[in-house]
Amino acid sequence: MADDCQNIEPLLAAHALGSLEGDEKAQVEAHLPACPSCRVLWSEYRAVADGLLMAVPEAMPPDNLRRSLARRVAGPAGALPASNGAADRRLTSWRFAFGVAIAGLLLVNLVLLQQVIGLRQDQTRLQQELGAGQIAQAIAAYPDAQSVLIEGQDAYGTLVYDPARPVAAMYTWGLQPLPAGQTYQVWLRTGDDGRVSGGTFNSSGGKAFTLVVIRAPDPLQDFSGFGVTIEPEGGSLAPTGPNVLGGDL
Amino acid sequence: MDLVRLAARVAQGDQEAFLALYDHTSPKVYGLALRMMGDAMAAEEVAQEAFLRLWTRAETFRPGRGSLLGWLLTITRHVALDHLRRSTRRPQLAEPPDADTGWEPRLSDEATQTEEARWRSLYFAVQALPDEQQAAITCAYYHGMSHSQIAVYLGVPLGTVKTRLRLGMEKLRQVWAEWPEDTPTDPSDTGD
Repeated sequence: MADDCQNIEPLLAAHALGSLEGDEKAQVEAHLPACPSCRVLWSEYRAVADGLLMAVPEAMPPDNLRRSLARRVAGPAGALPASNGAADRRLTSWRFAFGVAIAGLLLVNLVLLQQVIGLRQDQTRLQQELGAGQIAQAIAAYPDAQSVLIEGQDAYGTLVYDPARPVAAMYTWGLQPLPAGQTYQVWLRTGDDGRVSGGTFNSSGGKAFTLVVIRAPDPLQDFSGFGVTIEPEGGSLAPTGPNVLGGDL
Repeated sequence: MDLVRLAARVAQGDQEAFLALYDHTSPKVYGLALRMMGDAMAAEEVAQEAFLRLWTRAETFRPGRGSLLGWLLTITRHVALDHLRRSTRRPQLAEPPDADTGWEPRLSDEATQTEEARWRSLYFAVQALPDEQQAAITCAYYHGMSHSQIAVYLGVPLGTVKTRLRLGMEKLRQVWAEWPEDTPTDPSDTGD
């Protein structure tokens, strides 16, 4: 037994602290019941270990811990409501952070979506302008192309057309961008003083001139003149607004 | 205030008794939780769980086997060790910043002056240990680490860990033995 004690005694302090493992722990646990002297020493170490529980400076817990416990023990004995307190606050903090992150992502998505819509609108407008420019070039290149001056109170321009064709290019300067809900509409004057729509357009904000391709139902030689009025968005069946530009063909 | 009687009332579902017990013991319980966990939020969780175990298991407390405070602190240590084993938290070897290192005890009526003085002397004896012995004991007792875990954590051979633990605990045992036994302070073999 004495030989055993020589091996076991150095392990007793660690056993009292709970840090032994494996074979050493098994050896100590097997030895102690049969060895009074080691048991005395172990109990002294154990008393120290238990004293370490008390040998810790006190600290005042947060006020909400008492409130949380009072809330949880309220009601029938032993029936505890779902966990709250620090764990809930941590969960709530995570939820809050997650919510903020989601809201941030949504905001970023909205901004990106607006940018995409704006870019697509710009792309469409540029494509239309490019197409109009190509048509205008083609019309000007016709052997029989003609141009007439068009004038209004605050705007003016040029109409380039081939009398034998139902299409013309109109360059205007000085047309102001219209408020929402309004549009410019082109009218072609027939021989009996009737009006036929040549399409609607809006002024190119930020540019010095606006290029508009006019598409007529018949060759331009069938019309005696044309004009531009301000109409409700979508256009009208007949002119209803003020005339801002006009000319004879 | 008779804490044992309060515990008996808690076992009957007396909420006022529970809160009175809380008021008397929470600085010790929270202080131990803070020492073991190293941060206030984790310590609050541990303290809350320990007191809820007191509420649901008060009938298992046996006054003849140790003090109520010791029983409650043993529960607190077990709860904290469970939390530490579930988490990847690294041990904090130094005193946490919120701890009252000035050691101004708030004596419960259950504790005698002798007991409190004995705990205080043990605390200062721990502080007086060489750093390496103090670290080994802290890892083992307050963080539930085994010999091999301590060796890895401190980066020293296994034999060195055993020596440091043994030397440190022997000094503490001598300090502890200088004080006469007053009332039972062994809380380890009780109901938790």
